[in-house]
Parts: sequence; C-alpha cells; structure tokens
Amino acid sequence: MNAKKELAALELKAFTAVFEDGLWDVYLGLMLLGMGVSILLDDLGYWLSEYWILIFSPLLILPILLKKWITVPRMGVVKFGSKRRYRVLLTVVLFFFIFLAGLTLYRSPDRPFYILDVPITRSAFIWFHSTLLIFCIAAFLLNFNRLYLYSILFALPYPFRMIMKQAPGWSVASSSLFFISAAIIMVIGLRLLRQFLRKYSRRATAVLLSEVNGGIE
Amino acid sequence: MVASNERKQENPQAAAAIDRIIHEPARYMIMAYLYVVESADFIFLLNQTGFTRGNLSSHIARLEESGYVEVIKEFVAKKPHTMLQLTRKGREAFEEYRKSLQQMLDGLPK
Repeated sequence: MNAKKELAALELKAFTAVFEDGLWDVYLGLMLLGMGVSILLDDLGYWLSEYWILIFSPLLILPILLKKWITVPRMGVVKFGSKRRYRVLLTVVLFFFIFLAGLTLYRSPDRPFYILDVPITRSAFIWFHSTLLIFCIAAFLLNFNRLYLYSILFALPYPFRMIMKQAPGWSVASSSLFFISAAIIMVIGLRLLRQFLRKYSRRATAVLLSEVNGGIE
Repeated sequence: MVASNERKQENPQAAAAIDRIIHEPARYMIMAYLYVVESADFIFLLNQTGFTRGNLSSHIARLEESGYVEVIKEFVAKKPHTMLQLTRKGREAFEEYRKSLQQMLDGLPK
C-alpha cells in the first residue's frame, strides 16, 4: 500500500468511526418499525399508513441530538475536509428531495389517481429498485457499508406485503416483514451501541476532558 | 545505471533532509490524523491513536512548539474545549517529510 492510500485509509477509518455508535442503525430500524405498525393499524382499520412519514419526520432530529449527547462526549469532536463534507451534504440533499417528493405525492389531491392506478406489481417493482438505489447511493457516499444490507431489508417488505395481500386470509400478516427487517436492523444497532458504550466510558472521558482542557497550554 | 548511481548518492542527503520532529512514530501518527481531517479534539485523537493521555499531550506540545500544530481553545456550551489542527507550516512539513522519505526509500538498492 503506498503512502497516499495509507492516508486515505486513515481518513476513512476516522470517518467510519462516526458510525460505530449504531445510533443511525437504531433510528432506521425504528423508522421501519413505525412503517410496519402504521401499515398493520391501517390493515386493522385504525389508522392511515401514510401518517408514519409525518410522525417520523420531526424525529429525524433525534439521532442528531443523541449523537450530541452520547457520541460526541465519548468519542470526541472531528471536523472533516471539504471533500468529505461535500459527500455528506450530497446525501442530505438526496434524502431531503426524496422526503419532499414522498410528501408531495401523499399530500397531492390527485393522490388516489397515481397511487391506485399503478398496478400493484409495478409499484412493488418501483419501490424495490428505488429503495435499493437510494440506500446504495447513500452507502457509497458515506462509506457506510451496513447501508448495503439495510437497502435489501428496506426494499423487501413492501413487495412482500403486495404479494401477501393477494393471498386470501393473509392480509394482516402481510406487514410481518416490516417487523422482521426492523428487528434485524435494531438488533445490529443496539449491539453496536452497547459495544460503543463499553468501549468509551463516559466517566473516564469526562475526567480526561477536564484534565485536558486544563492541561494543554 | 548512471541514474541509479546518482540516486544512491542522493540517498544520504535525502536522509539528512528527513524532519526529525515528524520522524518519531507517535508524532507521525498525530500529524497523519490531523493531515487527513480539518481539525480534531484531544479526545478524538486519543481514541483513534490509542496513546496514553500524557504521551499524546507531550507529543502535541512538541508539535505545537515546532509550529506544526495549532491548539485552539474555545468554549462550547460554556465548557472549555480544545481543538487541534495542522498549521500551514505543519501541512507543508508533513508533505515534505513524506516526499523526502519516499526519495530516500526509492534510492535504496533493491
């Protein structure tokens, strides 16, 4: 490995350390769980499934706050170079536009027209491929490799639901893959969070911080 | 053949041009981390490098003396916070060090 590659690997190691806490994993798992609960309630006749996006969108700030309270005091602060910041910004913009597009689609008065007129197989096909694509782009831009796995876990539940809904008597079970996928993602995230909390003790870091801030002149 | 001999003659000069401050492995590691990021705080470096607090602190002090690292003291939510970043001189010195080391290694007989 030449020196340039070594430095790139070092930068990558520093950047991917940011995802060691598993907080984004837990959040993504919760998001999928929310979708599953909402769809199940919809199937049972209690709630409209599209509300999950309105409920979960304000919670987007939650992982950012948790990062501030849990990760930063333990792991420390790092500011990355312009190239890395550009890639993060690109991912944020990508997700923002997808969110806006989703919201526009659901809030549109013509919604029944384009939701109901799309054949089930085609909508499942569109969901599967677009979810895979979006998550893979984000995984590539952020070097967040677990997102490749999550792309499959996010892409599968909806087509599965569409197939199951066509089978008589299986309608309520059609949302089950949302719960299974969410559970897998959350278990990974919580495991990572536990490892992170063990690795970086808050008390030790707090003592260190007070010494450091008075120590380096 | 002639070019190879010239290279070998350059080798001791390249070795002499090696920056002794950066040449120490721990300081090289600190410089490398600060080179690939814009800035980082003491805790982050401590976690990433795996050094002890005293060790890291002394090396940073040495790098600061040499003008390679800038220690920025700031307040975040009324608490003191120390950020570290390479100075322009430090960045150039690190690039120069890598170049000199590469030249030296290239000049070694295979």
